[in-house]
Order: sequence, then C-alpha cells, then structure tokens
Amino acid sequence: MPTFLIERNITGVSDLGQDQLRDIATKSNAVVADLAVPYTWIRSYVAGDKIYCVHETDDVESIREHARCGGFPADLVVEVASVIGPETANT
Amino acid sequence: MELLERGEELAALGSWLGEAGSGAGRFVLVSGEAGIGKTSLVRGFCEQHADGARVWWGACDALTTPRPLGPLYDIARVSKGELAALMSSDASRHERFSGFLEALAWPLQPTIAVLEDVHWADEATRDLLVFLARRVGEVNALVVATYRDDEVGGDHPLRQVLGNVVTLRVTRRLALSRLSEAAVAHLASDREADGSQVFRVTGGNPFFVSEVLAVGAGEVPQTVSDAVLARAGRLSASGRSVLEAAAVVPDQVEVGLVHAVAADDAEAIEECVRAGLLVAVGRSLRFRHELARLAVEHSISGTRLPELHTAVLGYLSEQGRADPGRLAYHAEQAGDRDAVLAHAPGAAERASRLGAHREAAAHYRRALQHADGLDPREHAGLLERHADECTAIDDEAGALVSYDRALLAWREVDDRERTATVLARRAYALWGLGRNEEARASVDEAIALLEPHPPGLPLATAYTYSAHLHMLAREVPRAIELGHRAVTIAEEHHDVALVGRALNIVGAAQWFVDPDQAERTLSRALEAAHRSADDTIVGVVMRMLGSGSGEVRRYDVADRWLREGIRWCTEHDLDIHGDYCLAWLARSCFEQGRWSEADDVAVEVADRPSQHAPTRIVALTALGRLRVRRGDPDADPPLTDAWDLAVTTGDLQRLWPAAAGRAELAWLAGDSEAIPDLVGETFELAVRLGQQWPIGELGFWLWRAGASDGRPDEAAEPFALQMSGDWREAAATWEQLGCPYEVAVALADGDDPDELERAFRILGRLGAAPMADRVAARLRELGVRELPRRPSRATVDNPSGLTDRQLEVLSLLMAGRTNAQIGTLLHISPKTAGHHVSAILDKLGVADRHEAAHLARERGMTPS
Repeated sequence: MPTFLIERNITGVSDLGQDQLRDIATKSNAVVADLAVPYTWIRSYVAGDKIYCVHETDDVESIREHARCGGFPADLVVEVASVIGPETANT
Repeated sequence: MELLERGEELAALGSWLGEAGSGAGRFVLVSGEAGIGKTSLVRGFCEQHADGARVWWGACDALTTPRPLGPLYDIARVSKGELAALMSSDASRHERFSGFLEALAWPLQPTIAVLEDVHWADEATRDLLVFLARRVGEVNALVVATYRDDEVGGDHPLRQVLGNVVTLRVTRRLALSRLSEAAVAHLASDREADGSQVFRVTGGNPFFVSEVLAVGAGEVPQTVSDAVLARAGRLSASGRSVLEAAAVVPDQVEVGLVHAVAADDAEAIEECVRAGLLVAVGRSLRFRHELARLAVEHSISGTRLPELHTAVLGYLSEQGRADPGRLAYHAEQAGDRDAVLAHAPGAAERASRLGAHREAAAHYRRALQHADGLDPREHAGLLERHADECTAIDDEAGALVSYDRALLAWREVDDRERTATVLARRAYALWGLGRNEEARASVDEAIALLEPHPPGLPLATAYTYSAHLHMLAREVPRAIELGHRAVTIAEEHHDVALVGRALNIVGAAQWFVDPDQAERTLSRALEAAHRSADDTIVGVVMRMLGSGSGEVRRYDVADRWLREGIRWCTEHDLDIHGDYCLAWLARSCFEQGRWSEADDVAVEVADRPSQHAPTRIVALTALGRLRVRRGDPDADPPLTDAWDLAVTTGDLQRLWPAAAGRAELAWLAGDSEAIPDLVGETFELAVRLGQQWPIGELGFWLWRAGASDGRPDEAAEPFALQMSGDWREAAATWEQLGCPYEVAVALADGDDPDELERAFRILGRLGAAPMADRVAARLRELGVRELPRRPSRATVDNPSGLTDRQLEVLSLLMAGRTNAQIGTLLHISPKTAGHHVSAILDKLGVADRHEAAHLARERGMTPS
C-alpha cells in the first residue's frame, strides 16, 4: 500500500495541550474507522506551525476524505517514493 | 450552472470566514426568495474553502411538522464523535446546545456550520439559532443560516429570532437579489435561447432560469412547475418512478429507499442525476431544489400518492431508528390510521423533550384526529398531553378544549387521580382566559375529589395550582396555607421540582405579610430548583426574589436578585424572565433616584423584541414616571400605553404603579380634579385585597386631591405618616427605605425653611424640576429671599441633564455618525440609537442632529 506524507498548516499547533492532542487523535481514529477503505495512520510530528503526518492508504482521495471528515487541513499531500536511512548505505 | 453575479457575496463570506478563523466567530443570515440561489451560493462558498475549513451541513425540511432539531441531527450524523453520542443520548436541550458549541470550537481549522431553510425550523431549532448567535463570537466558527424572506411575514415565528440576532455584533446579513437581464442573456446565449424572453418569463430568478434553459431552445415554459415537468417528461418509465418516489419524501432520500419503493435499478437513479433533476449527496439523493420536488409531487395522481407513502412508511419502519416525525408524516399521507397512532405520540414526546412544544402539540393533534375508537384511557392520555403542550405555547383556548374532553374521558373510565389532575391544570388555562370564577371552581373540585383519600402527588399538584391562583388574586393567607400543604406532600414523595414550585408560590405570597420570611422561603425554593436541575424554575424563583422584594421596597435584596436573575437568564436563554428582571431593575433604579441608569435600562427593555405584556408594563411605567418627575414633555405616551396594557390584565400589581404615575402627572400639571377618576377603581381593588403599598400610594393621591382620607390605617407606613400630617417622620422612613424623591416630597409638606431647602437641594440633584418649582414657591411664601439657584438637571459637565448613554450617543453624533453606525459602535440596534437621538434633541430643545452637534460643540463637548 502506498505511503503518504501530509503537511498540515495550523498556526500555534505546537502550543496545544495534551487534552487537545488527545481529542485530535481520537477524532482521527474515529474517521479512519469510518472510511471503509484500508487506511493506517502511522505517526504524526507536531513541529512549529505544522503537523507532518505519515499515512498508508490506496490513494490521495482517501487522504483528502480523511481530512475533510475530520476537519484536518491538508495543505500538501505527496506519495512517498522511497524510504532511506543509514542502512541504505549498505544496500 | 455557474454562479453568476455573486462575486461580492462570496468575497464577503470569505472575509467573515477569515475573521472566524482568528477566533471571532460570525453568524450570517442569507435571505432571498425560493430559487434565488441561497443554497448554490453557500455550497459554492463551502467548496471554495473545502481545504481550509470543516463544513457541517444541516437542513430544516418541509414536513408538515418539522423534525425537532433536525439540522443538528443531520450534522451529528456526519460529524460523528462526541456530538453524535450526545445527540443520541437523553441529554437535556441545554446540554445538546452547549455540546454543539463545544464541537464547533475545533483547534485545527475553522468550521462552517450551515443551517439551511430555517424558515421551516421547529421551535427548538429556532432557540438554537439564538443560542448560537449569542455565543459564536467566542469560537472559530462561521454559522450560516439561510431562509426565504418572502415567507417570513410579520407573525412568522422566525421573526422573533431575527429580532433577537440582527443587533448582535457577530451577525452579518446577505440579501440575495435576482439576476440582471445581462446575466440571463449571457446564460441564454450559451444555450442559444432568447435571453430577453427568458428574462421576461423568469424575472431573473436563477433556479427558474436554469430550468427554462434546460428544457431547451424553442420551448419557454410559463412557470417553474412547467419547466421541471417538461424535463421530467423526458425520463424513461423507471426514471420517472424513481423521481416520484423521491418526490414524496420532503427531507433526505436514502438510495435504499428509492430502490425499495421504486425500482431496484441503479441506472434509473443515474438517469435522474444525469438529467439534473436529482443530486447525489453521499448515500442520499435530493432534488436539485425544493421547488422541483413540489412540482413533481403535485403531478402525482391522487391514487398513486398514498401508495407511495405506504411504501416509504414500510421501508422506514423496517430500518428502525427512523425519526418518529418522519414516520408520522408518511403514515398520515398514506391515510394509515393505525400507523399514525403508532408514531405520532412518540414524535410528540420527543419534540416535547427537546423543547419544541409547538411541534409536539401538532403531533398530538394529528394523533387525535385519528383517535376515534381508540382505547378510552389512551385517548384521554392523548387529550391531556395535547392540552399540556398547548399550555406550554400559551394557547389557552386550545388547551381548554382538550382538557374538557380529557376530563370527560377520565370520568368515563372513573380515574379519580387523572380527573383531579386535569381539573387542576384546566384551572390554570381558565385563569389565563380571564375566567377566574370557573378556574376556582375547577381546582376546588380537584381538591374535593382527592382530599378524602391518602395524600399523594396529584393532591400536592392541585394544592400548588390552587395556591398560585390565590396568590395571583392576592388572597395571601389562603395561598400560603395551600402552598405549605403542597410542600409537605411533595417533600414526603421526594418530588424536588414540585417542592421548588410550591415554595416559590408560598414565598411570593409572604412578601405581603412577612418579607423576612419570604426571602427565606424563596431561598429554599431556589435551592430546590437548583437540585431539580430545572433551569427555568431557577430563573422564575430569582425573578420572584427580585420583583417581590422590589414591590415592598427592599431595594438591596431586589437589586441583588434582579442582577443575578438577568445573569442567569442570559446564560440560559430564558428571555422572558430575564427581560422582566431588567424591566424591574429600571423600576428599582427609578424609585431609588438613580434616574440616568433607570432611563437607559427602561429604553433598552422597551426596545427588546419580546412583547411579553408584564415586562412592557413595568418598563413603560418606569419610563413614564421618570419623565413625569423630570418634567419631560413626553411622559404621557408610555404611561397611557402601560395603563392600557395593565387594564387588559386586570391585575392590581400591574394597574397600581401606572395609575399612580398618571395621578402624579395630573397633580404636577395642577389638575387635581382628574385624580379620583384616574386612581379610584384601582384603589378600591387594593382595599378589597388588603394590599398596603398600593393602598398607601393610591390613597395618598386621593388624599392629596382632597377626595378622601386615603385610609391611612391600612396604608404602608411612610404614606400613612404623611397622610396623618407627620411629614418629618414620613421623610425619615423614606430615607431609610432609600427613596430620595419621596423624602423631598414629604419634607415639602412641612413649613420648616431649613427642611424645605433640603428638599430643594435633593430635587435639584435628581433633576426633578416640576417638584423643585413647587418647593421654591413655598419657600418664597415663607419669606425666604435668597433661594438657592433654581435646580435643573443642568450641570457644568452635562448642561442638559443627558444620561450617560445619551452623552455617549451625542459625542458620536457630533462626529457625524449615522444611527446605524452608532448602533454598531455601542452594540445596540439602529432603532434604539434613534430613540436616544430623539431624546437628546428633545432635551437640548433643537430641531435636528446638526443643531444638536453645534450646540454641544458650543458647550465645549468633544466628538468621539
């Protein structure tokens, strides 16, 4: 299944408290459960005025649908072409 | 069809969304006739911002009886999460409203919440609109409500909502106009049609234009229906049957429903969508416009129609969890009596629970129309509940008809407790209709039926109603006794809400005999009301604490509870009680000599959209009396209005202050002969009911006019002292109570030059010119040569005695602001701003706002 990187612009997002982050995660899980397509939320990084998310699903439209239903901005959605790391040097 | 000539509207919506996004929520009203393109505009706007905002969509529907909170249920279905859980729980209405507001505050992006077609909104949704408008300013959301302004006439229930929200600073309005001839020509040229002919037929109504153009060149249908049916006529037989199935469902049409009712044929649905007649929204279908649905529905034959409704009813019943209001609607349209009786009462109960009493009454009425031959107990229960809902919407006449029939029905099955309960509630409806003797007889009969048996809640209820009627008639000892009996039984049966209601009546009655005890009793009532978690009873008790203590001139208690009541009622949207507290605050300020505040508050209340008579009487009386004492020229109109309204109620508490104000006006104008006619009858009423404050004040005026001795032995203390000639002691008593004007009036009866000068100074501070002139004349009679300067409201800073609010308005007026701008800046309606401006012109004695500004500048005021 393709992996997508989503960039969400949210002013002040780094200042959100634990309660609000929990609400956001709860909402995202609920939307994922309801989408009726294969969809996995891998992880998200809150940094500066953005959240960077890594999701797995079949197509961009599902990423957009997840964002629309959940009220998550999705300013940039790109499919991950390859994953590299220190170990890539050994391949 | 493209969105033409809506660029400005889209830009406006965009900028309001921007403001909402920064945390300053906005409430937008989009209005225009059917087919003008409200939905198209809002949909287009939402699509533009689909990536930057969360969009929630809920619609009111054209069911004969709308679903209570229908739009909120729509939104909960798609928003999921906590709101969905809340809406399917048995949470209170206030919890649902608050939960929605919380859900709107979403930290990641702003929300656009669209509430469509609110001209069809049920009572609970209308309350929701006011609730949202008052609070959305604090969250990052844009609430957009659309409505057909041409269907919202003077007595339409949405009027009240509009009156409440248009003056709020968060509210924005968009009134959509028809397309210009140029725009129609542009659209027509794409289809090779004759633009001017299309414009002539359609008048530029965008939906009509699009339908006419869709029919194709050569044909120009004369009405929207003709246009829609011309398109529908081109469908295949199965397409046509899909369209008809969808047309009998005024709200959302599930795809499954169409399959079950029309044809299990996805191609037929696709055909309707391709033809532009139906639009797919998720797993539902809807007509492109309600006008199109109506056209198709009306074209279905009279024999086919009930068959379709029967099929829809069958499908919805199988689905489970369908809104009982929808089921009741289709049952009635199908002519299925058993189904109406199965679903309408459930729909009514649900509506009642959500506070949509108008809709609840309509559902019970629908059930009753099909109730012949029903089990007599069930029938009686329906009648009783219908009457209760009528009472909740102040339809006493409707309530009485159903109570009478319920009474017969309960008697027939020999149910003593129900018979008695209906007799007691019926008494209240009778009282509301002014049939007081019958009301008494009804509740007495209830008590007589129950008293021989062990006491239970029905008896406590009957005692409470009886106590209330005695209290309204100011038969105080009996009201207190009956109320206490109700409290005792209700406490034994742990009915805390009834304890609160009964104690409220006991406390109300005690103000007239034992004010200290009244305050204690009402504090207990308040505690019970809080424990019963009934926000309305809490508001009612606070109102009683404030106005009851005010009536016996305990101002510190009154002011505290009036302000507390205003706060509570504002928080809980109990406008009727909150406005009443506000009106009473004006009266309290007036009596305590805080005239500037009284003036501002009274004007504010008089301008509220509520036409609740008691509130208007209190506010108009305070305003009129204030003007009398200041010697303003326009004192008579508010007093006369208040008096006329008071006469229709026939209640002493409403009549007495207005009568006293009119007497004072006559006396200050030197027309003492008029006084006996103005106060005589009300005085007799007060004497009959043994009420010492009205006896005192009205008796005082009769005594003043030389018409009678004023019965000092039955009058409240300060009036009694004054009538017996002890002006010094009267003044001291007034001073203790905190009524400076009355202090001065009492002192003015004496012949001590020092005390007369004191009176003169008090009146000067108040700005009570007419009375001050009288005191000055008296001083001159006594040979006092050096009178203090003639008092007027004029001071150095405020040369014309304007109120604080009026000074504010004047400084804006000097800066050349219009009424609308002043209204916006001061958060009041342009109408209220206009009232302030006219009052300023009167006080300054100038003809227009330019002269006023000029005069103010001459006196050294600065514009702001």
